[in-house]
Amino acid sequence: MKNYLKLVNFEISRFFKLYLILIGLTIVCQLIGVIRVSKGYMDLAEKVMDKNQLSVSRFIEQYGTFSVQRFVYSEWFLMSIYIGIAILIIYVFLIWYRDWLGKNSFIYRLLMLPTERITIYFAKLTAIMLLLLGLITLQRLLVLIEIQIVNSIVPSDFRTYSYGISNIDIFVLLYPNTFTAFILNYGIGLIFVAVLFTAILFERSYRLKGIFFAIVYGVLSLGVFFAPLLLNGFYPRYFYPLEIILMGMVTSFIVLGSTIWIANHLLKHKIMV
Amino acid sequence: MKKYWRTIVISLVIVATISTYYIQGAMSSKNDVTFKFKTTSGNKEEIENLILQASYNNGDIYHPLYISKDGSTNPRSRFIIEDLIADPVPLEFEKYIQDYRKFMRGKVFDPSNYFEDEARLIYTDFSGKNRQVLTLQIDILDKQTNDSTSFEITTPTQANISWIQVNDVFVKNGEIKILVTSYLYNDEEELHVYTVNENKKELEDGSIIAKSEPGMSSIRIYNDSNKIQNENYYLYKVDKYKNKSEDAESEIISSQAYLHNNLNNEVEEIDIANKLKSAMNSMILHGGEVFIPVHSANGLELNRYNIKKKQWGEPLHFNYPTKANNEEEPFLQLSGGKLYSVNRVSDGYSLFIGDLRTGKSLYEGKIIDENRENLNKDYSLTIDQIYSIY
Repeated sequence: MKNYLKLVNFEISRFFKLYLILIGLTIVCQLIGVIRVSKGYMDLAEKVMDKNQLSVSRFIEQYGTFSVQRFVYSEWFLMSIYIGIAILIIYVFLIWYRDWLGKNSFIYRLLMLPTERITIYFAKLTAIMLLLLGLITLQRLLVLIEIQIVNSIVPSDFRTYSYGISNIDIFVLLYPNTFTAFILNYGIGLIFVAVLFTAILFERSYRLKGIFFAIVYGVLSLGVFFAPLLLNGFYPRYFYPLEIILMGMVTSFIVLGSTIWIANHLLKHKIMV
Repeated sequence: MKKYWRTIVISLVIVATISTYYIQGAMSSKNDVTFKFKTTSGNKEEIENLILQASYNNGDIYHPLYISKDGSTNPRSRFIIEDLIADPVPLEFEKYIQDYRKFMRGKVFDPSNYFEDEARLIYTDFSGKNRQVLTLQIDILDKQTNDSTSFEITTPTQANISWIQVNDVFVKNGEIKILVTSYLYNDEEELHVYTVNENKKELEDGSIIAKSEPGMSSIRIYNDSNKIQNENYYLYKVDKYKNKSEDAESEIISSQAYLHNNLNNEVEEIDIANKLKSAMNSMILHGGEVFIPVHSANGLELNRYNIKKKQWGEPLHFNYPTKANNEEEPFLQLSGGKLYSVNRVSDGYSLFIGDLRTGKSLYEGKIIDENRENLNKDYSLTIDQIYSIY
């Protein structure tokens, strides 16, 4: 356990500088974005209302009210989210490959540690999930600030009444309405990262041949994972939603269990340094 | 400990923020927009078993709601994934799924495809909709024994049908009559009545009772699409247009309502007075009568036509407040011998329940929002359907 925590902290520390830069970039990008988008809307409102002698309500009729959606679907916001996602996906690979490709094969020392090798796998998995959840949290806090900024720039006559961020579609996935759904969504995310990790280990164990194994393994895992949904596609409405969710839970456990078992086997017996 | 500060900080911030979000969410869901009934006059028992399937709209926000005497609830699924897998189950089908779980598998949740009486539940559907052969599938459930039988019938080849819609199912004396609209590839529409002999399991008849040509005529059906029990008639209207040019607005030259009698397969025309012609689109078939509602500033005039007697009776008058120059279409539903009406009024919506037999008011009330401060004045409430749940 102690080794595991040490390793998690080690992984986090290694990424920390880049993580801070990513956080800074997100904050700057979104704050500039929210100010520009809401100012842009108000400038347009002033110009149009002045030029065409429109009242506020006539303007809203033609151009719509200002809602947080306007900002959320602007390039500023989307770009910051995409950058975050892209860097994390790249880091899913980098977290393994840097140990091989970096100076004096660090993986050699890692694998020599007096602990079960699967601990390294769990530590890296935990680190990725922590980093992901950290960004999700940051976004949640940023939105609160951004709503305040919008409110200070756009007068309430121009704003759509909105209750909570849970009404913005892309946030419904990030912050589901219930905690169960939250666990479910991020559980699925965890499974995908775990499968990717095992695919990477396939490549590290068998090199060129391993890429082929990794692809076969990945497709197989996805197939098992999505089997309930495929079943639903072939026999529409035959299974009730709750039954499909239960089947999905079973297939999820199968995929997660097998991925950990395979990873353990590869790390113990097949991995090449 | 000091060594671990980065991990500890990240973990703490995550746990603190995410847990506050969900704790706050659980608390603030009480402050969501909620509606309830407020009785003005009449019998409160009228709303005892009522559920209004509605939606709240405001700007970008769309919020489905069930409103009952206990307030409003959100029918949204527990998991987002559930919505991805299937459309939400309509309220009226929940009890069928509960009672006949096996029978309901794989079926479309559209009341038009079903027939029900005390003994049986019958489901009909067409398959191979886009292929050469059109098969009619019939599933029959014995409600007492919970046994079901099913058979398929190949209908005469209808190669040019692009889409088929079951409008109603009528079952009597060993015959299953299915009213169907066939949409052809050349944009024509046909109104078919397929008659199936239950014992011989074969198609007895597949006659066309009406047909429309694109740009020349159109057909509309006025049967209650939510009624699963037998309806003795099919009520439909054929509009004929002046041969219209590309961009000109189509001009109706004639509008005729017809009744198809399911017992003897006869079709009769209904004579409709000129002053009611413009209101024909809101015709309602209910309890052996055809109703034509006409809205006015102080309520509703309900014109009634008795199908058996073939004559128009004295219209019913229901008085209730409505907002003049109503932009929102008032909601009207006739079921169980009662009239249900929801109207926009100055401070929200009114709910009116009237007796179709006596023309008297049974219940008058309002649908009000409980937390006024959460509500934007520009909201609108759309009622889709009123259910009586027993």
